[in-house]
Amino acid sequence: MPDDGIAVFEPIDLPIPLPGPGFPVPAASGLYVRRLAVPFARVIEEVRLDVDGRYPQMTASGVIRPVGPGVPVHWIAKLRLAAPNTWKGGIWYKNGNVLALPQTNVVIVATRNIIPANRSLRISFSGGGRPEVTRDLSFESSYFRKVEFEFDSVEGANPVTSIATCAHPNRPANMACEKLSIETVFRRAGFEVSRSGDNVMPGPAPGADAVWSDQEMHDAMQAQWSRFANRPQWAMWVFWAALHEMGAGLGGIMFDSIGPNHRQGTAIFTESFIGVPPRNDANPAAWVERMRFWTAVHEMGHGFNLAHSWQKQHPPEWGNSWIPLVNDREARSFMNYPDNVAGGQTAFFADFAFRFNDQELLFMRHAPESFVQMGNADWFEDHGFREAAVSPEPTLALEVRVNRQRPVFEFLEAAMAELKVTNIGGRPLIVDSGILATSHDLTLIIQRDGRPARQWRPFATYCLAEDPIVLAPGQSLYQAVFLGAGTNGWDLAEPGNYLVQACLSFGGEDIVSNPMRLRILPPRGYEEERLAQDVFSDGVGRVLAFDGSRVLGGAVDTLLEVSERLAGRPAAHHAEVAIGLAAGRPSKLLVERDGAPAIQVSSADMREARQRLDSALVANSGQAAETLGHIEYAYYADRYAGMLAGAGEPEAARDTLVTLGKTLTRRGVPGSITDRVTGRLASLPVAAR
Amino acid sequence: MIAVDLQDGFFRDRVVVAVDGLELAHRDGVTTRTQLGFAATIELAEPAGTTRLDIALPDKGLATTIDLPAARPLWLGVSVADHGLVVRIQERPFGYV
Repeated sequence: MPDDGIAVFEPIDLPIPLPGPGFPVPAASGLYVRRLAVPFARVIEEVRLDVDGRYPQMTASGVIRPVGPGVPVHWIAKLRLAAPNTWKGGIWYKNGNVLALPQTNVVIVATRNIIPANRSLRISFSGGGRPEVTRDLSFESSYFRKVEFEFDSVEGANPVTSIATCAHPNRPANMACEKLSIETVFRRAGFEVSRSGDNVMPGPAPGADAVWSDQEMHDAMQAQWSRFANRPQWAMWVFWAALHEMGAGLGGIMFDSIGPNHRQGTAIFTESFIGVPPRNDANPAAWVERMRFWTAVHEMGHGFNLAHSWQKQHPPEWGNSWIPLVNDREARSFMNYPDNVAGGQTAFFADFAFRFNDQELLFMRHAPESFVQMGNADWFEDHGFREAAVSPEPTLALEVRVNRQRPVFEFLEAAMAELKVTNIGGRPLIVDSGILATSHDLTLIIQRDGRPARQWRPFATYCLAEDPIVLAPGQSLYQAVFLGAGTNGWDLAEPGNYLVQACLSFGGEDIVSNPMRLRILPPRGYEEERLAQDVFSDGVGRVLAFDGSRVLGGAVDTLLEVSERLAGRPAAHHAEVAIGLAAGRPSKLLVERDGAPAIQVSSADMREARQRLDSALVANSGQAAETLGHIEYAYYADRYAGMLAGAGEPEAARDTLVTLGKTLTRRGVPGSITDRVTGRLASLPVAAR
Repeated sequence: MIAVDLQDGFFRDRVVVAVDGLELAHRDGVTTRTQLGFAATIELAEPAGTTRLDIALPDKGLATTIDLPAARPLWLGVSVADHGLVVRIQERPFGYV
């Protein structure tokens, strides 16, 4: 019963009717709004009152928007009951245009009524040495926020979207026995949940691998999710498959951290460890159902920007919490690991009520929308050079450079750079072979003259297995980077002069590179200006970064146009590499078949691949090496040779490698690289004559 | 076989693993992927009869010594907490979600 002693009556799952004396009345909790007094006016003020119903947080929060342009202010207050239907408290959090709300206290009076249209709320702001302000708001919803889920799965993945709470004998003694759905869990967390159409997709064709990578899921999300958009929205795609490519140790993941809008997609892998009950479990089938259900809600919690229960306090480098939070390793929450509590999963589920804990509910219900909404705030905050810990006696040197005489790029040419890290100390160092490949350790800043510096954010953030190697004194590692575009957009594309600088974190030391100046030339004419409107898009950036796509058709069409209209120019090499590599390899693709989604494994089109890659890599190999950069040129040509050899054309493969070797030699690339090409040549089968 | 899972609280850390006083593995730049609470796995092919494992983050001045049970294979989960390194030992792989 709420603490004002009034029994409340509320709809559906938020909250359930509570027993009590007298006639039940509606809950006061919910969303109240104020609109401008004109027809169809937008909401300029919201208040979320959270004092009764399911899991009350005794909190109110709100947003006040300016009538015209401007920044809104978000506030949160802790409440206590002051009189029947009246709560008061201090505002402890403000975000945004705080000058718009100088007051420090609130008094809220709610009018309950069985008819929703007759419910209302009066709020008074006072304190802070300013006059009291009182406003009336209308009842909008029993829920605090709206969200939409789409549940898609691969055939045979056995998704679990609802559960019988008493099916397993190990449960709280007072557990309410019911059929509990994922939607109900989130309704009880305060969300008005709707579902878009769910889809079951046939599994991959025989011969194709059945495991899923983050990139494949990201592609599938874009192709399959009816609500996909590169913008923040209260909607989430939930995907069930058998296994992730990481193996059975990964039960689920909020995989969506490879685009500009994170946290829109999450996945559950039902044949991973979450499908394996403990030995001698009293009801193995129910254990598996519960674990799959728990994992789904857990991953969806990450989509709401919830961390694990033991990660609420974390290293400052990971970013700031929205408010100081407390680690709770023993939390019986969807966001804790059952195995991690004292007594393990048995102890966890013996006391688990299928809910989020209070600080998680506070965040989901009352934090600023941008912190919670899918596709809005990123999981991490970034850091800059200001805090660089540069050693007076560095062990490594970092160089950023381009493989051309002058650092000048044509308009529309994808800007490629090369990073080189060298052991400049007197003793061998153990480094990770991927030290330059992981963006966790590398920060790149791009600054156009006269503009603020921007941090380069690659489309993909890789989590690579450690691969320690010995870097001898004087020895170097290299990495190509596509600087042109990333999740920040096309930061290095407009004509002008730029400065690029990198910083690598190594063993607690920050290695700052040389500042590299480069120039982007102006367009040669109207045709290039027109093309630029399509090229400088997120889709084209992704296709170039990921070496092709079978999904982003508009972007691929743009690159086809680039390859035709700018034939022979540097930009065409990049376009044809992306088109040719995608054509030359089989790929899993989500399609619609007879009105139903299906996974289709498309085969390679070697004719198209040969046409594109011969043009991109062989016909003018010197220009190819210059514009793609030596590392990428060697990588692409080697891959192309592998494709040709795999297609039964060893002579063509041999010719490609010979061209590669000669080109690199002509350009003064170190012998260690050209030796590798020679080794590849020797490994090719001899063609039958 | 002993697998050491570097789990939570790592940020660009150098990690050294030694068995019975002999350094067997060394990782730089270990960072936790926060969605999973997992950073990396170090698999050790340890000498027969190994009884003690040392794990250290020298740059942070953190170290711990673990007396190993006899069972093999063995999985160790190591996390960085406020008060030092926390180690969990189990005879099955860790799972992450």
